[in-house]
Amino acid sequence: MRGMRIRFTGALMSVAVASATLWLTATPIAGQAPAGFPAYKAAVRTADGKPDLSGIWEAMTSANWDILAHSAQPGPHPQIMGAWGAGRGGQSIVEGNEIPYQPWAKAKQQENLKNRMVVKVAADPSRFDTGDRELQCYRPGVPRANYMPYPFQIFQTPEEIVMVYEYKGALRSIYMNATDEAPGDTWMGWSNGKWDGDTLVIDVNGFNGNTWLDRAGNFHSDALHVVERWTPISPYHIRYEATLDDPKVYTRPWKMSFPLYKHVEANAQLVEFNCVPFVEEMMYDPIGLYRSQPRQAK
Amino acid sequence: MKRTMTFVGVVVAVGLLLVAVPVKAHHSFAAAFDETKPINLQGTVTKVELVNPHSWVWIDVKGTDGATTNWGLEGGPPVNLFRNGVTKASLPVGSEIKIFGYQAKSGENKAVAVFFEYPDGRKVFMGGSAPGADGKPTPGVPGTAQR
Amino acid sequence: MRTRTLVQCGAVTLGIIGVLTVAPAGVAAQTRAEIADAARKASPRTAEEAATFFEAEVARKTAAAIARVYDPTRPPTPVKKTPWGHPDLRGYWLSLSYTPLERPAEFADKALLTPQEAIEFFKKAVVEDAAVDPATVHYDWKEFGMDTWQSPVRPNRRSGLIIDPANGKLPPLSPEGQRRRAAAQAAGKGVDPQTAVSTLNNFYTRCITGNQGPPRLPFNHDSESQIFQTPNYVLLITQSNNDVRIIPLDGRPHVPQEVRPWLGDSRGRWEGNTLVVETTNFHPDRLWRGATGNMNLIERFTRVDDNTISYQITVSDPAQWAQPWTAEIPWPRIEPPLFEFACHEQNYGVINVVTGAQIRATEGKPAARDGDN
Repeated sequence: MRGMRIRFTGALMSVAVASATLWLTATPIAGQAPAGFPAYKAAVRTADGKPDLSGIWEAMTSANWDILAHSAQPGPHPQIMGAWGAGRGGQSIVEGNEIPYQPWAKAKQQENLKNRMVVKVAADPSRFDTGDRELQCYRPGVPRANYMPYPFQIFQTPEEIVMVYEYKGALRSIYMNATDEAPGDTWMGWSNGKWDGDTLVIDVNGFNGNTWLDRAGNFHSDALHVVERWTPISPYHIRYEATLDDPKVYTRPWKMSFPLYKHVEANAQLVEFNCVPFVEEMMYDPIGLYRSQPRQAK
Repeated sequence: MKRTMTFVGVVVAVGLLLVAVPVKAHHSFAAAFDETKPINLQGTVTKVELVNPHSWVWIDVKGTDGATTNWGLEGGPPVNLFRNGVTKASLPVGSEIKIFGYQAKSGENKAVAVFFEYPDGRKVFMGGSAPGADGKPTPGVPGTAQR
Repeated sequence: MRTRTLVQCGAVTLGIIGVLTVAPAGVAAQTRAEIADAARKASPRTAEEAATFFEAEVARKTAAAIARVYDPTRPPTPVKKTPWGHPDLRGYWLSLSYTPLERPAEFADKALLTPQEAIEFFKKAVVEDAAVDPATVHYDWKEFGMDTWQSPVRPNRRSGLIIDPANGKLPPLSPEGQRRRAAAQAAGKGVDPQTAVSTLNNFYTRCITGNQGPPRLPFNHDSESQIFQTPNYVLLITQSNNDVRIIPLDGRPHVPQEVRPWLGDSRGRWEGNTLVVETTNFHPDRLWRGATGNMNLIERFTRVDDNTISYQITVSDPAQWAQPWTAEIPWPRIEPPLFEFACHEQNYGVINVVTGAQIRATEGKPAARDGDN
């Protein structure tokens, strides 16, 4: 008991010292996660003694436009959308600012970028061949859901953690200390979690390969394997890291990281974002199904 | 044995009563599929989508001229299959299956499959044994074990 | 004309046995019975054979179910608590029943059946349910474990799910409800709403919401759900469309009335061992059983034994019904998991339904009855 008190005091001391250091000297290196966050031991814990990550979180990054470093861009239909449609510029969330694509995959990413607003809807799997999924209100997958410009909420118990994303109410169930394989392939993957000290480690498998990593056409296959690390670094920040591995698309595993910020307003809650009604005309009008019209059988 | 016969007798009686009105609200499919186009198909599996709200099994069907057409077959949702041991590994690409169902109203190569079976009559997903089979679970075919 | 179709489909002629060939003029002349007969002839399985596949399973499941009749008059068993001291409702539950919403005419004055009557009603329903006529344009649900008797649903002593009004029926429409219904019927005359996504008023077919309200009435498929609890929240997650309702327990007020989610805005509190959830602020287009966005819903969840939650709803909307009404549905416990329901992502169904409806309209055929997927 006494030992713990001393450690806690020590932590407070090092916070004070490190804050001063940060103020004076910290210069984050381009392409890397912010350095110099002082050592932190989460005070709010669940019954099993683990940091309680419950709450409403959101990334403050424009990675949803492009996970690599990018300039501001005009966005779609600027002649109508003006500044509303423009995309912010931003730093890379990818360590090393490079995605190690296999040569064919680099060309495929460029093709994706060119066709990212093509909407080709069919009643078969070919509908997933073209265009950014977010445009059609499809689920964003993991890790993209965590850096969409929408909040998400974590609900935590020792046996299971549930994450609900405001975007589409997309859902992840993280089964703690489980090793079950995914019974089928999904958009958001199948998540098994465990604790590594104060870091929540989530192993995500069973992706259907249909999601993109951003609006710039960065992609993966159904062989994607993601290992996430969620580490609280202050009462209001989580350091999020994800290692992506996909032998069909990349030459080696690679890593992204960025902070997550806690919503602290008293009335914070997710406000339903159900985008399906917003995309029906875009998706179904080109195939003659949005408005009533005559049709002959083949 | 007697009990079995009694049971089948009851089913037949009810079935005759219900000829005009299907038991459940199956009419949701009535718009998409054509009741005048019942169809039997046999082919090799090219893709299995065990997804909600409906599973889709895509099969290559070979014609007399040797040309191959790909058909999409709509089935039910997968969650109860998963609870009974069926997974994405249960119906590998290349498996041979046969179906009876109804073709899409549009005339496209799609159908809702009433029955999903292997050529020897065993059910593809869940269910007991075909009449005449020994009733034992089939090793390597998840879903045939008694639960 | 159909001969040409056969030639065009020559690639599949070998694979197809018994494709029904009918000239368009002939279709109009055929009765529904003739169409159904032809389909049964084309089927490799008769209704009896299809039932025989499953008869051992039917017998086994029926025996297990009738041993545990649901009796709403039985006092609840002592309730388990979560580690933080709330009644434990956690787990996976099924909103499914053979008991109809409204009390059937045959039980007009009987709100409660004897256990034996409940068993007889249940057995009859199982037999009807397990039968499949190959002439139905639908997959055999038994092959996907979807028949109600393939779940842990049991006989229910209630003759109907509605317990108030006392006659077990939905209350009459209010004057405003009658006016709104008449206006909707007049506006929709002669047009099949299924011929366009923009008019298709089945929000489940469009994958906007699932088939579980709120409130959650028994629906014959995708009725699984999960209740997840933390000290400050209850999550209700449905299998159908994976609709997630986040229910704060801290007594905060509802969102302002300008905010109108499809799933409404929910607030929860504990009353003894019962979770009481009040939901308001529904989306104005939702039309749940004709109700408006101002519908008020109270749900009560009580775990009456290890394997059963009693789910009770009170629905009020003076713009639809003349008085509030209350129903109670017993939810059996089921095994995990829920599986991702990426409805809109894989919505081949709405394309097939609307395309088919447009073709029927072109052919001058009657609209197919709309339903769920």
